[in-house]
Amino acid sequence: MPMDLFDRVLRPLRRRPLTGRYPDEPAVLPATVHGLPEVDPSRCDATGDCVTACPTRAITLMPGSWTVDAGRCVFCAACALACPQDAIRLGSRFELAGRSREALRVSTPVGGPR
Amino acid sequence: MTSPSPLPVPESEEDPAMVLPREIDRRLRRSLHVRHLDAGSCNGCDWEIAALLNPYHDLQRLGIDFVASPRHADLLLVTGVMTRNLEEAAIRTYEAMPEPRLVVAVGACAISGGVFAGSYAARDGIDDVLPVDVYVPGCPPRPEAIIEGLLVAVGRMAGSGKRSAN
Repeated sequence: MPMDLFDRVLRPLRRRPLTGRYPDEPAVLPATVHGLPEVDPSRCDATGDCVTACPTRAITLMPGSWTVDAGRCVFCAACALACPQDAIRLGSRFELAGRSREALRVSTPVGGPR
Repeated sequence: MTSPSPLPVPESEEDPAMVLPREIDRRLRRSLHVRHLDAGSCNGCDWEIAALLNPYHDLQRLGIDFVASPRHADLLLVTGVMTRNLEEAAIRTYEAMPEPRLVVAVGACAISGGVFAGSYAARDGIDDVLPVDVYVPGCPPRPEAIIEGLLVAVGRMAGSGKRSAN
């Protein structure tokens, strides 16, 4: 096994740097990342089940718009589980830094109750 | 009396002698010394902040480092709900910082109280006590999201993962 031993000794020298390049390159995300909840407007019936399910009251439902406050959301997916239409998904959006509280609120236009 | 230079004054835009100093300035300016303050967090955010210094995220490659005292810091990185017991300490920490100073709130608790909102023992977020410049949502935020928040605070990123023009 002398060649195998030689290979083992040299292996660390061939290894490339581990350090990520963010923000010059986009972040490499594991498949299990939970980003901000996103609603599919074509499926949303505006039942309001997501609003009552949210433990931090991050979701507000107004006539015509569905708003999630990223500053309150804890990415628990209770809204997605509560939705009878299966309209909510936790997306991959995680770069949410904002300079004001208002900048953290993300609205999606949705239709009213059918 | 000083006589004017016989050589024409170089235009700073085209002068090749200025290329290297400008490049050095571009790469090194807006480096940042950060003081981390735990104002009653569950330690989730603090672990993500600790991860910034690991070999993968290596925050020092961006000219950002953590310091042991607010007196050495440009930016206060606050996690947690701002418990009653930490209010006085947080104010004193902020007042110990030299100006100009920045405050970044990390995590849902520091922004709005998160799952602890409405508690008798804590504020609903730190902005009742400290003037927050940038909010970093997440529970906890990913290390990349905290890097983004720090770079947004100094104008090196524009938000939503995008770089600033310069």
